[in-house]
Amino acid sequence: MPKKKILIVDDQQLFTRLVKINLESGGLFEVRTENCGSNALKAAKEFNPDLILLDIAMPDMSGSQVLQQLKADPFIKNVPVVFVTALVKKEGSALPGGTIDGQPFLAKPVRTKELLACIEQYIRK
Amino acid sequence: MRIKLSIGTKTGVIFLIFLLEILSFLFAYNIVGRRYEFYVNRHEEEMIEFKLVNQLQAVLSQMVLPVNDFYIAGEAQKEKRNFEVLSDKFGSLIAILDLWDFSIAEGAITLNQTKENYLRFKELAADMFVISKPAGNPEAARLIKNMNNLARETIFRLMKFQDTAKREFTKTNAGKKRINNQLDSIVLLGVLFNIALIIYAIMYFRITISRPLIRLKNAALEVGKGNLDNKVDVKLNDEIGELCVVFNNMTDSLKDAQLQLMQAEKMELVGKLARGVAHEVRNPLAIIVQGIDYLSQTASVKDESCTFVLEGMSEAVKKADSSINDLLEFASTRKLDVKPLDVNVIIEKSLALVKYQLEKSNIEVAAELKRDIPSILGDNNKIEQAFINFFTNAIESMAGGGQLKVRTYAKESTGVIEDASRKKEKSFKFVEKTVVAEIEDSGSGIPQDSLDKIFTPYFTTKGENGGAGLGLWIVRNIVEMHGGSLKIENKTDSKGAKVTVTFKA
Repeated sequence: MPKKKILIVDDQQLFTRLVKINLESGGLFEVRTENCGSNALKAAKEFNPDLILLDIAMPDMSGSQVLQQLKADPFIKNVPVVFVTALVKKEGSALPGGTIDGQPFLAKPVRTKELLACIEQYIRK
Repeated sequence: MRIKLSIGTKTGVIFLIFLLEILSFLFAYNIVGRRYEFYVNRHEEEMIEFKLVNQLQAVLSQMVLPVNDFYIAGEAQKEKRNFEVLSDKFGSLIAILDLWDFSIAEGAITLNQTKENYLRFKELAADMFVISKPAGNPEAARLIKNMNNLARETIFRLMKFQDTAKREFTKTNAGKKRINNQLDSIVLLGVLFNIALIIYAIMYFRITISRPLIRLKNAALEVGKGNLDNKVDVKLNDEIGELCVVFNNMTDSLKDAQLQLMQAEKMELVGKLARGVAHEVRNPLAIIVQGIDYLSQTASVKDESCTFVLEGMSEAVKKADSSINDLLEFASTRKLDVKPLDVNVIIEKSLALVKYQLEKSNIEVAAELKRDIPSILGDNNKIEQAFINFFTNAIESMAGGGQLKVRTYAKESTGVIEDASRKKEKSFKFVEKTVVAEIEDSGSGIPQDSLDKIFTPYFTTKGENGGAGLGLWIVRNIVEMHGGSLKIENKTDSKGAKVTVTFKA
């Protein structure tokens, strides 16, 4: 079974690296990191991920703007996107059906098991 | 008893007093004036009587002359004619006097006497004039003596009457003087009373209209300058009083609105700050958590101290994150989605949300929700958040089980603004409808030394396991943003705490 591909877009380099290590340690996922919002679309086109983890507050572009770009692209628009953000209340992420810009979200700091559960729920089958 | 008098009524009363005063003045003047007229008329009558009586005396003294002349010189024809002329004159004077209504009783008596004497005099004269040779005639001598006596007596009587009339005349003059003085006093009194009434009316309108309006104007100018603490201290029971109350209410509303605006600005700033802090703190926390997850996987399972350290770090991160969460929670209270709400429905939903904890802690719920309470205007989620907070606090204080009492009811607060500036009992009532919710637990209550700090941010009595200590601070903010009030106290009759929330209906 081929590994599922996950793209994580976040300006925090250390965070993306640690997520990559933790997710890939199980051997199920291949993770690509991107620390620049403006490069997200390019990276997605090259990588063709099964799920995108997207930060909201990034210095060059906001997560919402990145999402608009992704959804505008015919090849990428069907890839599920999950926001991972520091700006929502913790309880918010536990609410079923809670969304930001129509996408599900996780609140930082996020545990690896929460990430895995979320990926399991939303990843492109 | 308080009687509400409008300015129109008050003005009417003053004018009525004016009218009554003028009427009573005219009445008094009229009575005294009539008495004056009476005296004046009397006076004139007496004057005429006086003249007539003088004439009577004169004529009578002349009437004796022809009779005496006849006695001395004879000449019956000539003297008789002379006598008759005078006699007729006397008779006509008596006839005039007979018409008078005498003010003195003596007048009528004297007149009657004079009439009798006159008739007798005439009889005697008739007897006299038939005597052919009167000189030396003893009968004539007797007649003339009688006639002279009769004339003397009559003149004496008339003089006596004149004396009496003179005395009466003096009295009349004194009376006239007295009445004149009385009239002067009445006029003076009337003028003084009018002046006093005018001064009173001026003062009255100054106090009840001009002065309050000037105060209102000054207060309005102050409000224009932005000073909303300025109250108009006028408590009159009329339209002006109502205007002042309305004005005060208006400045209160303005102040409330201003405070809300300031609060909103403050909350906007807090929101920005909270989001900044959340971003700056949570990103490092996220890295730490990922690091912990990584280390947890790779560290030796058997290394107990390593596991202990990682768990400790994990707890610390959780705690820091909880603080950020509370901060975001508080910051998000700035936006209210206001709708008419039924407090009972919110309480029932909130109770349902904490049902699990209630059952777990073996807590019995006694809800006494009055169905006829008015609806309140508020944000459903925020108010629900507040009630969940109250219930959670209550549940946490009753770890070993207990009873949670929830009560709602409508209340009409009646405020009275007393008039302190004047001793008179004047005041205004205003009614404010509120909805009150009371939550009582049978838990441990609040430590006495913490009671005044429970609303302080980051203050908690729950120790290490509790939250960041923002809960009640946030809840109080929510209640106050809704224009309500929140009171938390320990019950006096039994163990536990009591929360009283009041919302404006």
